[in-house]
Amino acid sequence: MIDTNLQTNKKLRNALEAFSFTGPSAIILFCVMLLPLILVVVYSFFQNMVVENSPFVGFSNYMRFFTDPDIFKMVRFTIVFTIGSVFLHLAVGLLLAVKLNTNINRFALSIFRGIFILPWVFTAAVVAVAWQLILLPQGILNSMFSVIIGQRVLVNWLGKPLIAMGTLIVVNAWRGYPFCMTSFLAGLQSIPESLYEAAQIDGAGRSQLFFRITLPQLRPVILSVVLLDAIWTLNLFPLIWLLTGGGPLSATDTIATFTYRYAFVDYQFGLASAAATIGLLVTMVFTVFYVRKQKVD
Amino acid sequence: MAITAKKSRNSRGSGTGMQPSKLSTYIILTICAVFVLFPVAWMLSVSLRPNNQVFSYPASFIPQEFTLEAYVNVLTSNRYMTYFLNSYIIGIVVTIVSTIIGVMGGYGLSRYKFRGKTSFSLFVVATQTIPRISLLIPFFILMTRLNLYNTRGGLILAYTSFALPYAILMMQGYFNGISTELDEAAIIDGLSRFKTLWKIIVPVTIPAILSTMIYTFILSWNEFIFVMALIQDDALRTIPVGIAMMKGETTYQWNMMMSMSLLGTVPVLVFYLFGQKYFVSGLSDGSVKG
Repeated sequence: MIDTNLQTNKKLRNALEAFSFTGPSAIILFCVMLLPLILVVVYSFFQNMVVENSPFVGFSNYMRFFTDPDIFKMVRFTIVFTIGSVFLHLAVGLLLAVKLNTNINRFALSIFRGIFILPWVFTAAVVAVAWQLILLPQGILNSMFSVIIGQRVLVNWLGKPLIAMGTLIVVNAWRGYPFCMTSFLAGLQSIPESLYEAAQIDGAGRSQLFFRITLPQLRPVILSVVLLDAIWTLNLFPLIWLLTGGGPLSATDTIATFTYRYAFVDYQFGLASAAATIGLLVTMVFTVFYVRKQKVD
Repeated sequence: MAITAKKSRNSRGSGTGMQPSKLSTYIILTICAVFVLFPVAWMLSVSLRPNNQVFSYPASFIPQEFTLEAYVNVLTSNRYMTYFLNSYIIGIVVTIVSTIIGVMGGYGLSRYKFRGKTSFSLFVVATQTIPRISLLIPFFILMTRLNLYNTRGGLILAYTSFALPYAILMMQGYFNGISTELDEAAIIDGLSRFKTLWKIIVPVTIPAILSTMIYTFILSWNEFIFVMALIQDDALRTIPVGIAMMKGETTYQWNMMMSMSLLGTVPVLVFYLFGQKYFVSGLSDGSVKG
């Protein structure tokens, strides 16, 4: 009797202690994370929760969202932008990581590394204004092309649908590759030297070393980085909002700019909640894969 | 985690044994560096010239007339300095609050077994991927009702949604790397669990805590969408939104926008240089455990 009492006592104590440490985190995360996520789904079934006594409208917000005249453009750009950005981040990140993992002069190496991390220190708003200045019709980019071609070039890099789509992908590539690069660099540095030595003894060439050792060894890191990068790119807001605002003619709209515009430009919070819920569902598909890849202790 | 990453970096021997000629490496790196540096150099160049020479044609990369006018204008403007002040106040408060709570949460997850622990851990990992825009609508509606809209308090609360999970995850990782023998010894000496954490465990994880704090501060410093939607008063805005607002004004002061952008980046740059050793490896460890 006493024994079991003591045991339950100990168990209770342990549970109380555990709660005293994790409780504050759990309560705050409930309030700022779980509750809002539940609410946004609930709001999506009401006309406009910003107004008191808003009526329940079933799926009509979703119907309106899916019949938005610009939805096709939005889906198209979200896909093109995400695939394009992630691919460029991956390619540039891998190239630079491999090149920074060679044994050239140490001082030069640290200079290069410092330069290549640089885009990461700028916040999205700064990236947006800096590139806008470069990309304006009378800006430096056109100026340089003019000098090369020998006549005045006045391309509106953000004003034509197709050009703006490409421009945004390039700007986002510039901005986002450092994360891939540093992750890959850390991954490369943990590949044991002996693998390469053994392969070289067996007569493997340079490209064989890359495709048979480097890539397979990096595979887990690449997968995680791609998933995370896809999630971030899918939901990227400030850069697009500040450079094109989703335009011209909705050509660079994503689910994030759609949601923001519904809510804070049109004040249609029911519709915006439906859009946000759809965005959340799409993101969650990626999240499931991402969380599965993480070892949770 | 950071320590193992550092070790592997140091133990990097004579390269990976798969280098093409060094010359081609230098050429590729230099070409890439030019592309990467160009926008930054142009920002600097524009920030150092009078506004009427921003679009001179043909463009000259080096300002024909050097002036610190843009910097002086920004640094002596009450309005712009208020943005800086707000960014610091909110960044510091968010960092301190989420670090304290995150240290406790991370410790709890690292040292205790309890029901629901796995789902809580999974939830914390998953929150890293939640789009802020989907939180924004409930935040806006709730904060309007609770009179937190357009207040620093509301903003700080909103920021913890991304700062706290990061702090918990990082600290849990670091605590997992510390032997529980240290805790046990302290408890045998009669310390409570709480004191064990703050007096024994925290002092040995100071570098890890600092790097977590630095990164949390940078996350807060860069936040955009919450300020944009939850703040109405210009006097409560932070730097990123302040810069974005300069874009909407009638006369474009490009030289001031660029100087403001560079000045607003300085803290991140300083923190990066200061904490580089720790948190670049931490950054990739935290999100990419491979």
